[in-house]
Amino acid sequence: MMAQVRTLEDRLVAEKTAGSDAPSELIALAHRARDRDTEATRSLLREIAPAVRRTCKGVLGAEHADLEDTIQESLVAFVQALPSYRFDGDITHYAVRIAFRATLHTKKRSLRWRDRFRLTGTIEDTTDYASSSPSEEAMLTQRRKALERVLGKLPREQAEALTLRIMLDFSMNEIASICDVPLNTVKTRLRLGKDALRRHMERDAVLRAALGGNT
Amino acid sequence: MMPVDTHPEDILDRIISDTASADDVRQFEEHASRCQACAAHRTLRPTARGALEPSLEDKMRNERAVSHAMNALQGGARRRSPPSVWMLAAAAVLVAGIAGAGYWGRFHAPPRSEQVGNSAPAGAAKKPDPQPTNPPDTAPEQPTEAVDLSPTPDKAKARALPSPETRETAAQVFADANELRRTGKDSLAMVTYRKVERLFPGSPEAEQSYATLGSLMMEHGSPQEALGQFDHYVERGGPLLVDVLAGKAGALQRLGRTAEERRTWETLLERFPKSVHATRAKTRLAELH
Repeated sequence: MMAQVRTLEDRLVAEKTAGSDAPSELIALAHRARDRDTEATRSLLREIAPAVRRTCKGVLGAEHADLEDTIQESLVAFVQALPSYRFDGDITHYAVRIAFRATLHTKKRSLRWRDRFRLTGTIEDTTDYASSSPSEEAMLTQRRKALERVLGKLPREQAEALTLRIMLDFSMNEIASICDVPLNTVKTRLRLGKDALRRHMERDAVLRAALGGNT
Repeated sequence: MMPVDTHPEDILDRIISDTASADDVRQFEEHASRCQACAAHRTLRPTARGALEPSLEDKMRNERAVSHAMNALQGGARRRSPPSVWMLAAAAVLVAGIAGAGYWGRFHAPPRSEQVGNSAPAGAAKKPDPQPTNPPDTAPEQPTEAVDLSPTPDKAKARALPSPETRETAAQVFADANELRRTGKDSLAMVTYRKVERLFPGSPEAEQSYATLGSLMMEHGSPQEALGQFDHYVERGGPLLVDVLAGKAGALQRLGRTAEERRTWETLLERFPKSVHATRAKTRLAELH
């Protein structure tokens, strides 16, 4: 019972925190966009596009071939999902949630194509930890791949929470708002996810080196 | 004493929001020295954070993405209209003349809607359109129609918009200029940005060029010329307005035009109170008072 009360409180806090930052102009635009006002839709998309790009770029990487397509798909999906928006949370987080889903969809699609054309080896083999690159983006790509390799072994919810936390640098309240779950759920997912990540890193020295763990 | 298996996520939250105390940081570092997962988080975070920072090009790309998304949404609305009826209506317009066109337009032509395609059922709406949208580097299929769907179109602006073919070329020259800038050939880049402004006035690329060229001129110690570029951009407005206002204020500062500089910082703060330039604006205004 106490746990339920705490969960509800946390959720209210999360929603309040998330909602308080949402500018009223954005909400007004969202209302008009939902009523199919073209100019309002365009203005709303301009406002949320940076957050959508940030999400897609954070998950896919700046060099991903499908980055721009995914951003456009996310924007379209966001407008199409406006009738489902309940106006009780941050609309930017709502857009991020949709972009995050679209981005994961793109990743799965990329992996399917890669699987189709790969003759030998495994997905893990494509991560070349040993190769060094002077470019920060290349280094980040390597680390992202290493992290994805571990996250692929975790339950989806934990993997998503860790991606939002580590790759997109969101706070716990923001993750709660984006995932539309209570704050305590986010805490649990992060704790379990990090426990699993730690176990994997403790067992695997190569992974530890790739992710910049303690030597 | 913090047990090793409790990840200090609350402290990380404060680190993320830049409100962590020295003690917070010390506690986190102590934990990270014993926890591989948090050590990895510590290593990955700055790199990931840096990669998430928006660039000038990102703002331009966002504009393009919004434009393509709007086209896709409008295209979706058109797809719902039966094509055969569309074709029949068009044929009738040709054969029967204006009167016939009026009749078919009223009863059969697809609605020239001012609405975007968000009429999908709520339950089915959450999935992104599985069909890929236009590639980012190509012109939209119906750019002019898409632009004109505004309920209160700015006719003069619409007339000034270049044709799709021209826009493609503007994008190409603009990309060349960006590439020159990226490779450190600033003088050539400046010439090329000027070319975009001269050959494609009114295009999004030309508008962006005023912002970028202004910044380059500032870097090369030409605040007077930079000011001209920034003023042009400010007059028209655009997605880079906040950055351009900051650039303009910087140019005025170098020129010693204090009163105008103060007004520019005040405008920036008034219009963009939460921008990344807000702190600098406040600091500078305090110095000027």
